[in-house]
Amino acid sequence: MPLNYYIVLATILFSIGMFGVILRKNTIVMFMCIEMMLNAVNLSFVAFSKFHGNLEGQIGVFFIMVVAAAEASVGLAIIISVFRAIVSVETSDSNELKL
Amino acid sequence: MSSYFSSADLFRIAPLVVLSFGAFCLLLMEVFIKGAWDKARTAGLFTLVAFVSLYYYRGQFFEGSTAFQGLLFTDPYTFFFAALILIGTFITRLLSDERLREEGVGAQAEYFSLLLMCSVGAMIFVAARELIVLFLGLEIMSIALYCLCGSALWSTRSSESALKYFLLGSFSSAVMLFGMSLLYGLSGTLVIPDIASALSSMPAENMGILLVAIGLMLVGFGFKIGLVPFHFWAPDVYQGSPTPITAYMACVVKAAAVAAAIRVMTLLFVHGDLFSVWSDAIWFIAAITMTIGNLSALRQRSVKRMLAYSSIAHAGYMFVAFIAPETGGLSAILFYLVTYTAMTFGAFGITMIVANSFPEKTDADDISNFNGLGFTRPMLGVLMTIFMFSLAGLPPGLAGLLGKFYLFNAAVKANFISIAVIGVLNSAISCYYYLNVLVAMYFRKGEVSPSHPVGMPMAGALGVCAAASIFLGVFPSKLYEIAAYVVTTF
Repeated sequence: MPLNYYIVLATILFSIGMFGVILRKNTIVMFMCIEMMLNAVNLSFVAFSKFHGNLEGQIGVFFIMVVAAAEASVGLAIIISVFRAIVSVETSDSNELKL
Repeated sequence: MSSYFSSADLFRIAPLVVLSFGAFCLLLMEVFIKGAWDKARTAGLFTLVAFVSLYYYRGQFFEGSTAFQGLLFTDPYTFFFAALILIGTFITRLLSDERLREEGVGAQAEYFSLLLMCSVGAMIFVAARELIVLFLGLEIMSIALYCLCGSALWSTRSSESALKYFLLGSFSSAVMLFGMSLLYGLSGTLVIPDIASALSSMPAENMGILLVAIGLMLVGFGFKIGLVPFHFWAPDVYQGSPTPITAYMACVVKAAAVAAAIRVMTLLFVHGDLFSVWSDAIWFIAAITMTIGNLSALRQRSVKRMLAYSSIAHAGYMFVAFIAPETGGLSAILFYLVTYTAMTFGAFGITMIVANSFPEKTDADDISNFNGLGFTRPMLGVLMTIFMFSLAGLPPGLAGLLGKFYLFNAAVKANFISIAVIGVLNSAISCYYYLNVLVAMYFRKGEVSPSHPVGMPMAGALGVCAAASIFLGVFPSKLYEIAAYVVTTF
C-alpha cells in the first residue's frame, strides 16, 4: 500500500482527536481524544519509518507509548482529585478560576 | 563492538545525574526516615551539588560538543541554560521553604522530588539534539509540573489548575509530536541538524507539508511559552497553583521552553526561503502576544493573575527580538530571560508573603491586600517597588529597561521598526498595572495584617533577585558578552 494511505488515515485520526479535545466538555473523553492523537502520531511514525527504511521512527514510537502511559496515570489521578472536590468530570463545572 | 557512551558523556550530564539521584533519594528517605527531617534543605543541597558538578566539568562544554552519540548538545548554550535552570530551582526551593504548608502542600518530600525531576526534564529539553529526546525532555518536565500544580491536594483551585494544565499541556505535546513526525517523514531522520541539511535539498512540492510541520511545532512551543493565541491556560493555572510553583513555571519552565524553541527553530527553519514566512509569523505572534497580554493584565484584581498576563506580555517582548536573529536578537533574548527571571521570582515571592498574611481570605492575592504595605512593612514595599519598576522597564529597575532596549534595538537594526514601536507602546501600557500595585502600597490605607516574620531563605532569595534587577542594569556588559558568545555556539 502506498505511504499516502497511512498518512491520510493518521491525519484523519489526529483531526478527530483534536476536534474532540476542543469540542467535548467531559474530561475523560478529552483525555481519550488526546490518547487518540498520540496513536495517530505513532501510526505516522511507523509508516514513515517503513518508507525511509530506517528504524528511528519505530524506536521513537516506543518512547511515545511510555510517555502516554505516564501521562495516563498522572492525568487520571488529577481527574480523580478534581472529582473528589466538585463531584463532576465536566470542564464547565471546573469554574472556580476566572476573572 | 563500540561502546555506546564514554565517561566524558557522563561528566557532561553530571547535573542531570545528581538531580535524578536526589529526586529518588527524597522519595526513599521519606519512606525510611522516621521523625521530622528538612526536605527543603535536602533538595537545596542536591541542587547545589548539581550546580557544583556543572561548574566543575565546565571544560566539557565547548563549541560543537555533543554527548551520547549526538543525542544531546553539550555546548556553551546548554551550559548557560543548565546554570539558569539550576539557579531558578534553588530560588524556588528558597521560596518553598516557609509557607509551603500554608499554601496547602502536605506531601513535601514528593513536592521537592517532583521539583528536581522537573528541572531534569527542563535541562534535557534545552540540550536535546534529536526530536524524540526533545519530546522526552518536554514530557518529563510537563508531567512533573502537572503534579506540582495540583500538589495543594485539598485546594479545589489547585486541582482545577492541574486539570487545565494537564489537558492543554498534553494536547499541545501531541500537536508538537505530529509536527515532529512530519519532519521525520520529510527528512528520514530525527537528528535536528541532519533534518536541517535534508530540508535544504527537499523537492519544492513538499513545501506545503513543511509549512504545516513548522506550524505544528510552533503551536507546541507556543503553548509551553504562553504565546497568544495559545495562552488561555496560563492565567488560570498560574492563579490556582501554589505560588512557588507559579514562579517556577513563569521563570524556569518558560526560560527552558524559549531556549529550546530558539535552538530548534533557528537550526531548522530560520534560513533561506523560509525566513520571510518565519518572520511574518513571528511578527504577528509577537504583536498580538504583547498587546493581548498587556490589555488583559489591566483589568485583573488578583496579583497572581496580573503577573500571569504580564509574563505572557514579556514572552511577546522576547519574540520581538526573535525576528532579528542576525542583529543580536538572540543574545538580547538570553539577556532578557536572566533579568526577567530575577524580577519575576521577586514579584511572586512578595505576592506569596502578602497572600499568606491573610490565610482566612479566599482571594488572598487580591490587590487590596497590598493596601498600605509600604508603611506597615516598609522593606517589602521597597522590594516590590524595585520589581515592579523593573518589570515595567523604568528606573531604578534598570535591568528591565536595558533588557527591553536590547530586544527592541535588535528589531530596529534589522529594519523591523513597526514591531519595535508596538513593543514600546505596550511597555507604556504595562506601566499602568505595575504602578497600580505601588499606588495600593503607598496611597491607600489598608488593614494592618498580622505580621509574619520573613525567614532567612525567603529574605535571601528576594535580596538576590532585587540586587540582580538593579545591578544587571548598571553593569550589563559582562552578561551581555556571555549571552552574545553563547548564541554563536549552536
